[in-house]
Amino acid sequence: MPQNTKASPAFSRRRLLQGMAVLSLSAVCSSLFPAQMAAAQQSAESGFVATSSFLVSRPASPILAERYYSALCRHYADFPTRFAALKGYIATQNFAHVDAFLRAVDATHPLFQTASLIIASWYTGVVGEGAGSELIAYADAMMYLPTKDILVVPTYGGGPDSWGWDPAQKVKEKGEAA
Amino acid sequence: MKQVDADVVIIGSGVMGGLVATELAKAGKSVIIVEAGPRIKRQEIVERFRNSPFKMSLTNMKLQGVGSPYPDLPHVPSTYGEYLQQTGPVKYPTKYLRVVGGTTWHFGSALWRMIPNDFKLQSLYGRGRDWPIDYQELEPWYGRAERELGVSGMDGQDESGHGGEAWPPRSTPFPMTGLEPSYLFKRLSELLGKGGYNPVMEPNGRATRPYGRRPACAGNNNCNPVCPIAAKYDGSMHIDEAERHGATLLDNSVVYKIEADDAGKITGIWYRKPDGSNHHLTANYFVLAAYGIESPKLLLMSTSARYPNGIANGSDQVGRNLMGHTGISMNVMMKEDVWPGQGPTELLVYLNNRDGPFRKDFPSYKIKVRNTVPTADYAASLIKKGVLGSKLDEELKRMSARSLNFAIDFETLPLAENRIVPSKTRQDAIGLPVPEIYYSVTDYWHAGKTQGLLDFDNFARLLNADVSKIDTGYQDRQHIMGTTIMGDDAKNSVVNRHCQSHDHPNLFIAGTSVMPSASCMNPTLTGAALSLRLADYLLKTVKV
Ligand SMILES: Cc1cc2nc3c(=O)[nH]c(=O)nc-3n(C[C@H](O)[C@H](O)[C@H](O)COP(=O)(O)OP(=O)(O)OC[C@H]3O[C@@H](n4cnc5c(N)ncnc54)[C@H](O)[C@@H]3O)c2cc1C
Ligand code: SF4
Repeated sequence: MPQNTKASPAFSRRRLLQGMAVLSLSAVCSSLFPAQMAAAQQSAESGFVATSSFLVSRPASPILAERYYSALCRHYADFPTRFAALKGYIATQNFAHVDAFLRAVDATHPLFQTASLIIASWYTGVVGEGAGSELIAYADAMMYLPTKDILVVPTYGGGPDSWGWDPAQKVKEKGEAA
Repeated sequence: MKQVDADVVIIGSGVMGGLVATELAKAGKSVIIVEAGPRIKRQEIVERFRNSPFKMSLTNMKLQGVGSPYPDLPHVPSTYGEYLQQTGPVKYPTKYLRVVGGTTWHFGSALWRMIPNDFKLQSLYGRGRDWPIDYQELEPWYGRAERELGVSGMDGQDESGHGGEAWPPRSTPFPMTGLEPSYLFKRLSELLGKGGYNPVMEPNGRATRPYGRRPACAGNNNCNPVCPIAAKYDGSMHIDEAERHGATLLDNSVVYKIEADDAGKITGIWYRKPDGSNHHLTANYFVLAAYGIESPKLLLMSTSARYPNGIANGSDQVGRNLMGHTGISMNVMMKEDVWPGQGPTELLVYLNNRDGPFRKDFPSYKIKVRNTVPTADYAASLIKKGVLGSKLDEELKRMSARSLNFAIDFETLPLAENRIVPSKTRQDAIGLPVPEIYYSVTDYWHAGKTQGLLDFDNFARLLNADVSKIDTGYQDRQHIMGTTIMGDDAKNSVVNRHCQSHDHPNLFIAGTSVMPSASCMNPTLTGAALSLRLADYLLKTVKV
C-alpha cells in the first residue's frame, strides 16, 4: 500500500527522496537502459513526487513515483516537457487542493490532460495505451483506496467468512475500534 | 490382445479426462493421458495475473478479449486471440484453456444438476431432443461427481426455482455446506422476493472447509481467471491424483489423428510435439476428452479412405448441434449501497423460468447476479470522462457500492447447422487446422429474450434502481455442448447412452459435448457425472 507516513517538512522530504532514488537506482541499474536510468534520475529531481502528491491528494510513494515517471517518459516522448509545464503552472498558483486546480483549468486544456494522465497512472497502476499498456503497481494502485476495508483487491482475500455482514456496519465498527 | 502402449489412452487432461484417468488408474489399469498444452504452476498464473495491465473480469467482456494469464504458445494458441474462426451470424467466442488440467482452471465453478424434465425436452415440450437416459439413471453419478469435485451447496433448496420443496431429488447431501451469502445477496433476496422471485444459492466448487488438499474459500474474488489458493476445484487436481495412482501424462503433445481399422476398431493415435515431430500410441481403448470444440475437430480431421468423413461420424453429426447459453445482461445503479464484490464471484441466481409448459414457446433461463470487484473497470472509465480529484474517490465509492450487473443464460436447442469444422484455409503454427465455428440463434431464443427483458424491467422496479445499460448482443456463456451428441439411434447421434461411439466400440467420448439438451445450467457437473458413469462402464461391463 502507498506509504502512509506523515508528511515531513518539504525540504527534508526532498533530501530523503533524492537519497532513496539514488539507492534504488543503483540496485536496478543493470536492468535499465541508460535512457531509462536518466529518466528515473529525473523523476527524483523533477519534483514528480511532490506534484503527484498534490494531484492525488495523498502521500505518493517515491519508489513508485520513480517507476511511474520513467514509464510515462517511455510511453509519451513529450512527457518531460508536458510535466514541466504542469509543475510550473501549479507552482505559480498556490492551489490549496487539486479540486481548485481542476476548477481553474478547462478539461480540454493540455495542462488538465497531463494532470489526468498522471492521476490515471497512480489510480489504475497502468501506463500506456491498449495492447502496449504496462503495469506499474497492482495492489498499490490508488483506485483501491476509496473502497478499502469493504472490497478486497482480487487475489488478496480477507480469509474464510470475511464477508456476509452489512459493510456499512463493518466500517463503523472498525472506525470505533480504531 | 497384442502388445499395446496402455490399456487406455485418454486424449485431454481436463476435468473429464482427469476423472476417467483417476478411476481407471485406481483400478490398476495402465493409462496414458495425452495433453496438448503445458503444465502450469498456480503461483505463476497468479503472478502473471497480478502483473498484467489487463485484469479480466466476467463483467467486462471487452477486456476478456485482450489477454489471459494462461500461456499462449505456438502449438496451443490461446482462444483469447485469433485462434477461433467465426463464420456464423452470431459469434461463439468461447474461451477454453489448453493446459494440463484444462478449462476449469478459470471456470466460475457453478456446479449444477439438471432437473428431470431437462432430459425429456422433446416429449414434454416438443423442442430439441430427449436423452436416451433419464435423471434417475444419472442421479447416483451426480452424487459421486459432487463428492469428487467437492461441491458446496445448500440442501433442501428448490433448484427448479419455484420456491417449493427440494428439487431435483437427491440420494446424497452436498459434501460441504454452502458459502455464506454476502450482504448484497441478502439484500437482493429481500427486495426481489417482494416480486415473487425465489432466490436460489448456486452449488459450486469452492470449498467451505478443508476438503482433500483444498483450503476453505477465502473470498479472493478471483475465481476467474485463477483461484490463488486452490480452494476452487479445477481439473489439475484429478490429474495429480491419477498420476499418484500410476497414470502417465504426456504434456505438449497435440493429438492430430485417430486411426481405425476396416472393422471399426480404433488402433492408435498420432500426436505432434512443439518441435514438429510426430509420435504414435496404441491402446485397447481410447477416451476422447478434448472438450466441445477440439474433440469434434479431431474426429473430423481423422479422415482416411475408409472413413472419408472422419472418425465416429457415420451419422454426419460430429461437430453439429453446437449449443451454448447465449445470453443478455443489464447494468443498473441502485439508490442504496449494496457492495457487489464481497466474497466469491457468484452465488445468487433466479430460476423462476427454469421449467414449465412455457418451454414449448420460449427457452428455460436463469438470471444471475455478478459479484466481481469492479474497481478497475470503473476507475479507467471515470478518469476518461474527466472525473478527477475528490470527485473521483467519491464516484469510485458510489459506483462500487451501487452498480449491479445481472446476466441471463438461455437454453439453446441442438441445430444441425450450428457446427464446428476444421478450417480448410487456416492452420496453427504446427500445421493443424484451426476450428471454424458457425453459430446462430432462432426465434425461440428471441422469444426467451423478450421474456427475460420483462424480468429485467421488474428487477429494476423492485430494486428502485436506474437502468444504465442493457446488452442483448448474444453474449457467449462459455458452455459448449452437443457436438458429439448422445442418442440410441446410430443414424442421428455420435455416441450411445454409455458415451461409446456407435461406429467404434473401443472409442468413448467424455464431456459435455455428448449432452443432447443444454438446459439453462452450467454443464460441467453433468459432464462429470457422465464421465464417472463411463469409467464405471469401462471397468465393470467392458472390462478393460
Ligand atoms: C470462463 C469460463 C467459465 C466457466 N464457468 C463454468 C461454471 O461456472 N460452471 C460450469 O459448469 N462450467 C463452466 N465453464 C465450462 C467448463 O470449464 C467446462 O465445462 C469444462 O472445463 C469441460 O471440461 P473438459 O475436461 O471437457 O474440457 P477442458 O477442461 O477444456 O479440458 C480439455 C483438455 O483437452 C486438451 N486437448 C484439446 N485438444 C487436444 C488434442 N488435440 N490433443 C491433446 N489434448 C487436447 C486441452 O488442452 C484441455 O486441457 C466455464 C468455462 C469458461 C471458459
Ligand atoms: S472466491 Fe477466491 S478463494 Fe474463493 S474460490 Fe474464488 S478465487 Fe478462490
